[in-house]
Parts: sequence; C-alpha cells; structure tokens
Amino acid sequence: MLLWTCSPGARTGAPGGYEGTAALRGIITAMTRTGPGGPLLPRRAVLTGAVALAAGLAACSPDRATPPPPPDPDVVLRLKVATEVRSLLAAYAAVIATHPATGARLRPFAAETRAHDRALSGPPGALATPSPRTTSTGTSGRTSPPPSPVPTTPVGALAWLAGLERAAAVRRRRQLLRAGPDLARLLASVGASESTHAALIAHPAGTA
Amino acid sequence: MSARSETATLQEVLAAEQAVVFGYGVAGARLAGADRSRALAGWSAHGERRDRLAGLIAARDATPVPPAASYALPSPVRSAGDAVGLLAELEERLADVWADVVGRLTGDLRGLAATGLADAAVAGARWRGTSLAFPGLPERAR
Repeated sequence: MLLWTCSPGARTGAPGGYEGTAALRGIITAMTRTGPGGPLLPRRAVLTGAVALAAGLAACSPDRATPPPPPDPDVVLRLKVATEVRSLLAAYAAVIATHPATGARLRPFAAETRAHDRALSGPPGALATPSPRTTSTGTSGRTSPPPSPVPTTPVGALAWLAGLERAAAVRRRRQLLRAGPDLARLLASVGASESTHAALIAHPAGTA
Repeated sequence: MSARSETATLQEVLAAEQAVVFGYGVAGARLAGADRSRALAGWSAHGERRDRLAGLIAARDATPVPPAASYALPSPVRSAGDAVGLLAELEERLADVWADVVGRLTGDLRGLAATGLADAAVAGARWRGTSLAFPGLPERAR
C-alpha cells in the first residue's frame, strides 16, 4: 500500500477495505456479541483491535491534511551536533565535580563549548521548528550516549576529556561534508575549537 | 562550484599559506629554544601544505600563484615577544581564510579546508596561550 493513500473503500468498510477497518469492525462485532454483563473480551483481542485502529487512522490522516514538509537536513544535523556538544558539556561538569582542582583549567574550555551549543541551537526562532517526525526519529539519542564514568585520577580524567574532544572534532570534520555552506563553516570552526581544546587539555600552553 | 572558481579558491589559500611561511621565517629568526623548534615545525608544516595546494592547482591545469618576494608584516618584529605575537596573529588570519573557503568547496577539498582551519586554530592557540570558541569566524564574539 502506498504510504499516503487511503482508499475510499477502506473508510466505508466496503469489501476490499484494508486491515485496520476490518479489525475495527471485528472488535465492534466481538463487543456486541459479548454485550454488557457478558464474559470479558479477551485482552489480546482488544489490544489487537486498538493497535490496528491506530494504524488505520495514521494511514488515513494524510489524505485529509497535506503531508508535513521533509525536515531541513541542515536543521536536523545542527540539532544533532548540538546534542553531541551538550554531552561534552556534561563530561566537563562531571570531571570538574569529581576533580575540583581541574576546574580552573577546564572552565574556559567548558565556556567555549557552551558557546558552541548556543550557536548550534540558535536563538529562539532562528531555527525552523523541527517537525515531530524529526524529534521522534531521535538521531541524537543513539549517537551521543551519556559520558562513561569519570576516571578516578585527575590525570586520567583529563586524558579522557581530551579524547572526547578529539573524537568530537573528528565527527565535525565528517559531518560538515554533508552540510550546506554556512553550516559547514560553523561546524569547521566548532571542530577546530574542539581540536584546540583536545590539544590544550593534553598539553597546556607553555608546556609543549 | 565550477572548476575555475574552485581553482581560484585554492589559489587564495595558497597565497595565504605562502605569506604565513614567510612570517614563520621572520619570526623564527627572533626565537630560541623550544619556541624556535616549534616555529621551525610550523614553518615546515605550512610549507608542506603550500606545496600540496600548488600540486592541486597544477593538477587542474593552472599555474600556482608565485609567492611575493616580501610581505608587509602587521607589526615590526624586534623581539621574541614580537615574534610570538606575529605568529599568533598570522595563524588567526590564516584560520579566517580557511574558514571562508570551507563553504565554497565540497568533498575532499572541503575536508582539506577544515583541516587547514583546525591546524591554524591549534597553532594560533599555542602561540597565544588561549583557545577561541570560534576560530576563523571573526563575526562571532571571540
């Protein structure tokens, strides 16, 4: 069946109508037969009918409303990168909380990472509102798992953070290849800043 | 992007890398110890990138722009401090040039530009001693 079609036969319940309607009719028949005070309908039958009904409604609704425009790939990418940047921020917070002595050194980098998030998330209204479909596909959740536990020594924690920044910079260089010109420029700059963080966390200025 | 404008874009960054190589030569003469070694490494890295760009341009049947015999420096270099300041400034300007061409290039060349920007940002941060939130994007608060 085509995604955005819904045959009139299906809506009227005519023969040849599709599964959702058939299942709906089936459940009504079943309820009529059991009637008030009758034996309870098997739970599975109710659920099956409800699921099929929901599927039928979802398939039919675009027939009445125009399909949502496809999400702007640059907006999707931008929001995905913003999510990744926020997971880096969480890693900074975790390291500073576990090893407070690293705070003075890390806070400037964390502040710049926060600026990345602001630039990528944009001021309210600057970005097209992502459609529900964009958010529900959840590109962000899979690609940026919560940071793993902070290493127990400050040296280990700094090396871990430098590794996260380096990996982020590598991802930016891949992501910018499929971005529009303006977003590519922003991602290149964010990635360059992340490369700098990785280098300066591993070897502070003046020591290398 | 047409092949001709792609070549013109490569010429633009080639000219910038040539100027930076010149600057490293001037600054390196004023530096000693670890800074001098780092300047030498930078001079060599920028020279390699310059040669790579010249090769890409020649592969497009164009003649790479020749370097200038001399360049006007943004400020006189009389001390080691001046030299470090010059290199920080040059890397920052180079980052601007690379960032500007990222959006105009595609595929491998865009990747090359992003790497050029990142290398300039890291080197600039080393000479300056601090990082930037948006290297190469002067329009954003730094």
